Amino acid sequence: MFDAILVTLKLATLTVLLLLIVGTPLAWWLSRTHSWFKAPIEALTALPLVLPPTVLGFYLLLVMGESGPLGQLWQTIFSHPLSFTFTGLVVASCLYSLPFVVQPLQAAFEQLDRNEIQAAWTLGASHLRTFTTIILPQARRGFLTAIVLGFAHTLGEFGVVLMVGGSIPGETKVMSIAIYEYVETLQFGEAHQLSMILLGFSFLVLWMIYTVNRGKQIGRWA
Amino acid sequence: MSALMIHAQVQRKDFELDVDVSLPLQGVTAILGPSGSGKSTLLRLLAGLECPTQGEISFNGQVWSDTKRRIFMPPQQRRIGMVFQDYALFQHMTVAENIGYGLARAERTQQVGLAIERFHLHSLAQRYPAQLSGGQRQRVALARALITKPSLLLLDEPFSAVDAALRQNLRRELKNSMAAAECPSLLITHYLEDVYYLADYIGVMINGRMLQFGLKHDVLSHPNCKATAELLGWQNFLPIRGITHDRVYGGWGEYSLAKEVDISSAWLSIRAEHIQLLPALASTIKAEVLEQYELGQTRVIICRLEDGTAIQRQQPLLDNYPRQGEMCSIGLPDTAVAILPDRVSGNLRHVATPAQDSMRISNTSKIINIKDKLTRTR
Repeated sequence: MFDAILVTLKLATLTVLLLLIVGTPLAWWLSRTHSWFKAPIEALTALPLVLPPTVLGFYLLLVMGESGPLGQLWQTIFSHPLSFTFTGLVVASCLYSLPFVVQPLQAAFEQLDRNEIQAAWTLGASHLRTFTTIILPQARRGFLTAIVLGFAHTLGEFGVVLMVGGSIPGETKVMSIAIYEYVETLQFGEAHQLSMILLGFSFLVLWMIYTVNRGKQIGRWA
Repeated sequence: MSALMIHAQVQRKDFELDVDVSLPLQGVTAILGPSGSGKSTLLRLLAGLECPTQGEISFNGQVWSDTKRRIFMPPQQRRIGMVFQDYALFQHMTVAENIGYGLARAERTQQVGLAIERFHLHSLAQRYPAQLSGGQRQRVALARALITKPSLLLLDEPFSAVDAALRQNLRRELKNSMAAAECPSLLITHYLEDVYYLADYIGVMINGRMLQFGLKHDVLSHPNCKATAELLGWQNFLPIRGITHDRVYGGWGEYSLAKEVDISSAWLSIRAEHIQLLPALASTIKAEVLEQYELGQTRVIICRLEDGTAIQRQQPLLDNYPRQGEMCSIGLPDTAVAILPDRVSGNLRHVATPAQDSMRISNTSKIINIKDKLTRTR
């Protein structure tokens, strides 16, 4: 049981970190661009919201499997397969949780006052300093929402994980799969414990988001 | 040469800007123009927040942008101070943090203290922008822009975000601050009062073109076309149907010139405070008084000329005035009359000749200063 909790936490943490690195520039671009590409990219990003996880998992398995293009490339470079490994699980999770990180960030960036950013430039601030001192503090609610939602959504993954990662104890067996297996083998006590952890965590996460976003206050941590 | 040379074009789907002007780097330059005239775009070009589609901008010989040589100096390197229309204060920072943002950490505490003293912000230093009034925000924005000792201060419609009642106080504060900073300033506005009160030089922008630029007094008293004159508060425009060697005329009557006016002029213009209302037979331009009303300490009298053109006179409230329905005549003092074309091209070196089929068109077109070139022979 603890193996499953550890794998899940590791997976969720890594997924959120990677998604912040990839999702921040993507969300920034989506919030600023008027390009023709914006709508199709937004649609692609949002696909995991509406697609059944098994569909996404099925295609990811085709792409990442031993005969899939990404799987073959991975095998050539690293000499081990991508599917049914923890790394493969991280890649799949990133795709599956992408909208939960990108969309809150995009919304936060769209609400930023462009003049404040430009005022910082006229005061001599570099783009990096502008990001850390103006954009990041003002979009902090968006970042917090993105982190929490991305983390929580990864915790609850089932379909994609099962298709791409299978159920290798200590490697790809996450909490949701462990619960499924406990139920299948009629170990309701263990299933209950893991389920309560997920339920409690999910509730706390949503409570926190609603509290943070409740109202606009004046000051640094508004 | 101490000047801001702007030769820039911006082309967008629905807007075109084409400015070719050299601004002096002293005092306050006000760019006056209606909404959509391109004055904000011009300011953003100068700040480095937009790139011209084509052209060159240089400051005191230093090239800020040059599309041919692919030079573009980012705003961080231009040493400008900018006060945005909504002040753009950083909402998550206190007043003191806002003011010190542009300074290096080492000099921040001391310089911010001095600025807070100079701008009378003692009691507000630890407040956030959302807790300030419009006037206080403007002071913070100005302090933040000036603390870096910029070589040019840019102000984007500095009074549009405040009530009319506050505006005059803020103008006075801004004037004092700009004078104390000894930094050349360029402000854009659509309020004529800003120009009267603050400016040393005026540029008039309409439809993406700088139609006129010069010393405040010169531009205010000698607009170069009807569009400029309207923006500068001239109210009376008598349509000219023709020009002979010694007079201009229209349905309203005629006005004698001492020598040929070599211009395809369309309008005889005079300010409301300069046009005279005379007894009925005193001049050949007849008018009927339509109405009169009080406007603060002045009285506005609206008259109709023989061709139906409405004109207005403004005079001190206590002066005698003709009553509604009375017939009178119009006096046009030589020193106050301007003969104007409809529009000029916006290239300040070559004034255009707008075609008017009812008029004699000449090859060269000049801005006519009626004071120098016309005399009334009535």
